[in-house]
Amino acid sequence: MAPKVKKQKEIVKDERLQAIVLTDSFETRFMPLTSVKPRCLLPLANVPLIEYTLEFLAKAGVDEVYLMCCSHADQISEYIENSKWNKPWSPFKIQTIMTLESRSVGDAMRDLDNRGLITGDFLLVSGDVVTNIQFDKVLEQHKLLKSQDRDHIATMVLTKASALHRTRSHSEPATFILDSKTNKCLYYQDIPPVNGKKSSISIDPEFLENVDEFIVRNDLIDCHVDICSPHVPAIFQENFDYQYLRRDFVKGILSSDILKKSIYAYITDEYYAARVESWQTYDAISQDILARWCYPIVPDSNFLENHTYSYENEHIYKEDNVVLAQSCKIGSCVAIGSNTSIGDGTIIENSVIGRNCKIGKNIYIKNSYIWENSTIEDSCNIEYSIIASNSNIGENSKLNKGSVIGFNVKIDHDQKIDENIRISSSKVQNLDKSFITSEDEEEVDDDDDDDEDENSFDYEIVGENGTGYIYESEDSDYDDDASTKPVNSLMYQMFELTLSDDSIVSQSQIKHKKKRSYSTTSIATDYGEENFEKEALETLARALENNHDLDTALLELNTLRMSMNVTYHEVRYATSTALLTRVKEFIGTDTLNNKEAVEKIFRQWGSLFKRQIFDEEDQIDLLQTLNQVINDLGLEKQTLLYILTILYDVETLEEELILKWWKDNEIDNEYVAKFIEWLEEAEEDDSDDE
Amino acid sequence: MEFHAVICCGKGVNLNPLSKVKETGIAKALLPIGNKPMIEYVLEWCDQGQFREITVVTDSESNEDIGKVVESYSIKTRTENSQLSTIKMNIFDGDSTGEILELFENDPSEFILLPCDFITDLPPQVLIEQYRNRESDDIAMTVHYLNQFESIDKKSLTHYYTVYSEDCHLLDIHSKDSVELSKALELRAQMVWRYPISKVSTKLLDSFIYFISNDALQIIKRELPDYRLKSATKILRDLGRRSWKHSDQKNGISLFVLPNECSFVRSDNIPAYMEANRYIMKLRAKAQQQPPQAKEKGAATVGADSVVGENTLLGERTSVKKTVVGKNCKVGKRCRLTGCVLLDNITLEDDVVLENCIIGQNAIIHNKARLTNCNIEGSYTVAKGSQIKGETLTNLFIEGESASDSEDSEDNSDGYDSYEDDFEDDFEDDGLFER
Repeated sequence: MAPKVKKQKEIVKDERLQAIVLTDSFETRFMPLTSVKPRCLLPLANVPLIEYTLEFLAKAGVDEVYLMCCSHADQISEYIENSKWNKPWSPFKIQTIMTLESRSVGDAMRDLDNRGLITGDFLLVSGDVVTNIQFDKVLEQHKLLKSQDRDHIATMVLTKASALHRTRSHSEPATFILDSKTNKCLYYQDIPPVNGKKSSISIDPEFLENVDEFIVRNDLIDCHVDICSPHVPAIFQENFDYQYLRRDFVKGILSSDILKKSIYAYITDEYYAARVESWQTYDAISQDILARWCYPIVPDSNFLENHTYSYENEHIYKEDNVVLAQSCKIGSCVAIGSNTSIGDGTIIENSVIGRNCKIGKNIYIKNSYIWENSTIEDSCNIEYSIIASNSNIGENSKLNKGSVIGFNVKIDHDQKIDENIRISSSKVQNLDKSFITSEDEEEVDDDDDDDEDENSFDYEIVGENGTGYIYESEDSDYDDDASTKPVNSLMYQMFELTLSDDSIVSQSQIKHKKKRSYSTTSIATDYGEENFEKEALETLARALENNHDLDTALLELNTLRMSMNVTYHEVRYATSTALLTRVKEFIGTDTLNNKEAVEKIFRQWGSLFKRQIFDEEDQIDLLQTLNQVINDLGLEKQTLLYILTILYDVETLEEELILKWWKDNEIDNEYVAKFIEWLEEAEEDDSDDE
Repeated sequence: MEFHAVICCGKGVNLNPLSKVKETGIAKALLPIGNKPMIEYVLEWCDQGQFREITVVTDSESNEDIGKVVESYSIKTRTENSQLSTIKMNIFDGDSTGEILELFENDPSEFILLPCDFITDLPPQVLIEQYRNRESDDIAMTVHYLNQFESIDKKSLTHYYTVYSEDCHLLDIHSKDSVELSKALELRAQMVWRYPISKVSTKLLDSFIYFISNDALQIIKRELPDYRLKSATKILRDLGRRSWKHSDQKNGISLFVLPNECSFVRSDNIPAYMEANRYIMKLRAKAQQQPPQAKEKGAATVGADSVVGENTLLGERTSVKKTVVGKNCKVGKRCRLTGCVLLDNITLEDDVVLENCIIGQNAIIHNKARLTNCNIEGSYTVAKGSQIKGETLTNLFIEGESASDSEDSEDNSDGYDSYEDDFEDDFEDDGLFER
């Protein structure tokens, strides 16, 4: 039966155009909002972002769409199920693919390869693209290039703009080095933002052989629309360490002597293409849509079936049933959803207001985005801000530039929200665990639900009757200097080259999407687990025995993890077991005593855990696992203490998490208790110093 | 005319063994192209441009010789045309061309720095107009060209990565050698921010024709304290970098690429020198149109694209094709010369066959020698019946290799070696980032 199906596939191979949509960006730029909703479902001009991508795909004549879903996959799949795309008359077949374990674009691509869905050249887009590109031209060009250059594996669609164009990413700028004649990509390099640190693009002259003239372009918008050949996922599979599509994959391909593949750029300047990848681009693209720059992507195209926007002069868009008070003033470039009422004396300019909002009297709203079901009481002043759904802003409050009010947040009256403050209704775990403002925040509640302790709201910000927490972005790690301007902010304004600002975004930092709230074990099958544990233990035992280097061991583990599709918990469990078994061996043969054995093994191999831990939960889980394995193997209790000290030392585990773990789990271990005591004291000393 | 043309006569390191690098050689500026010292072509070119002032800068060693040539040139041309300015001589024994600028520190005019070794059919007015039409805040202009002569071996040309903006401003120059050495072509992120579209050419060649405004001279003096140690090319490169590495945009350097319609060649290496000779021969052949009058039987034949200098004797049945033969040479019987350049006072005995050779002055080639693709130093003696291919023959006594500290760094690719080091320094020193 199976081969028959395959045969059929091959017959239709050339006719189907497949599209892979990466709904997850594996970034945290839209935190804290993305802790509640995935990026691709956030509304842009009152339409969920994914709609723009799907509209584009529909226009491009795609036949099959696969959505690679990771965080909030359930929400996305639910949304798609109920959308028009799932109806019988949908222009393409749509399917959501759960790739919950993916932690980077690379992982998603490898998963894609494992599933074997790709049959021919396919379109790879991210779920946040807004574009009206005429895709058939791109495809034609791609085919032409492919016929000329057999090694051609990907065409990147880039649009011409300027270096500081508002829809261009300011936080992740990149330069493309292209052959001036053929637009063949010779090199790719991320560069620090304007006025960032001094750095240079260094190109190996080998890449430049036989090139008469090339061009270095820092003015292109990379909207992540690529046409890839089926080799691409396979190349990701071969290169486990590829995480990013551009930084790793494109660069890797270009600098590889073995692969000898080429990537071309398709540069267009007549169409609109941009990615909503930061607040800055969110703002810019919203304004472009309102100002009809991306026609036919305008609110009155009514992409969603139940939308009823109509166009009025000066780029004002209104749905049915909008109630406007007589004396309110609606400036140019405004969109207002249905059932929204706007009170007397209110002025709105360059803004988007969702459905069912209640906007009071004498309010000034400028360049802001208010999502559905929000209430803004009288006399507020809102500039360059985002107010997510179901929020409530009390009377006479002022939101300064760049503030982001999360879902369900309530701001009391007469509050003043400072620039670039982000507020969420529930605490959002910060992966970096960068140190947050107040001490009591360390007792972070794990749940995403709203059953927070009433006492811990940031009342200073939201007011006595408000609800909400301040969200500290990871980026804050890097701007030590309070005066610097975050790149990822609505308040980007027009950057001037002369502005001084130290680098805010770390390019090298690997950022991961927020922690996942699914119970991960449900995904892995029992069959996979059993095998994995056995194999992983063998692999590690071999590594320890033969003293392999760390990277090799990691690579092998990673291979196993992916081929068996197990969770990181399994990996940690296996690693702990393997290491501790080795310790036990040493003790059993009297070669070393307990402490020495742990020291020897964990000093060298402890770093393995570093690549298996991604958030706080993982750390706690590791501690639990270690404790459990020690008990299972019947090792002495001190062992845990020795391990803790080492892992703490090599910064695999963090102090506050060790403390938290200790508090949350009553563990009977007097040795560790001492260590905890010591930690607490040290911390107190620390705070005394300050 | 507001311009002051400065002709820099270098030693001609890459013209070894013909140039003054060797004891027996002639100063580079005086090496003949089509039996005319190459500097005369440059002077002729200058006279077309009617510059306010012309200065020839030479080292003390060859000053006298070049002086004589310049003087006789002046007498030849100047007497009829009194409008032309006189040509001044200036002695300069420094190590880098940057120092030449120092000589003219107090001169308020605009400069044109010229090499002594170029031949072009492009009138100077084109460049002057180009310079005058530059953007108002550009302070200098560099002229680049593409090599049009396929027979010039690519290896003998000094290649650069020339970085320039979309609107033709010089941004940076990296020599291929230094890039090769460090295995990386470093482009500054700052530059890409300032000029988001920058082109990098691997084929553009430096003509060493630089227009330098007085403003530029002031800036060089003020902001590049060590300019005396650098070559002019490097100074221009630094000015190019200066335009983007500061927080506010500074004066640019415009870059002009010679159009493909014109010919331009710099005889700064042996193959190019040969090619320049051939180019001149071709022009002459075209100009003459009618073939030279038929000679009596048995006499030597000289092709239309060849030149034979004064007092040169050609033996019976000798044929000369695409070849320049200098003055006071003696060529024996039944010699065949094809595509060669023979300097003055050379003696060829009978039955010598030369193909694509350059023979230095006073050389002697004995009977039946057969040389192909050879470069022969002056005063060298080629033994009877030698058969040599593709070699450079030099006299045996070993000279102190003074080549490396040559004044003329446009010939000297070493000039860029210290490049990577001072790149970092440049960025640290200007203090602009300590806001």
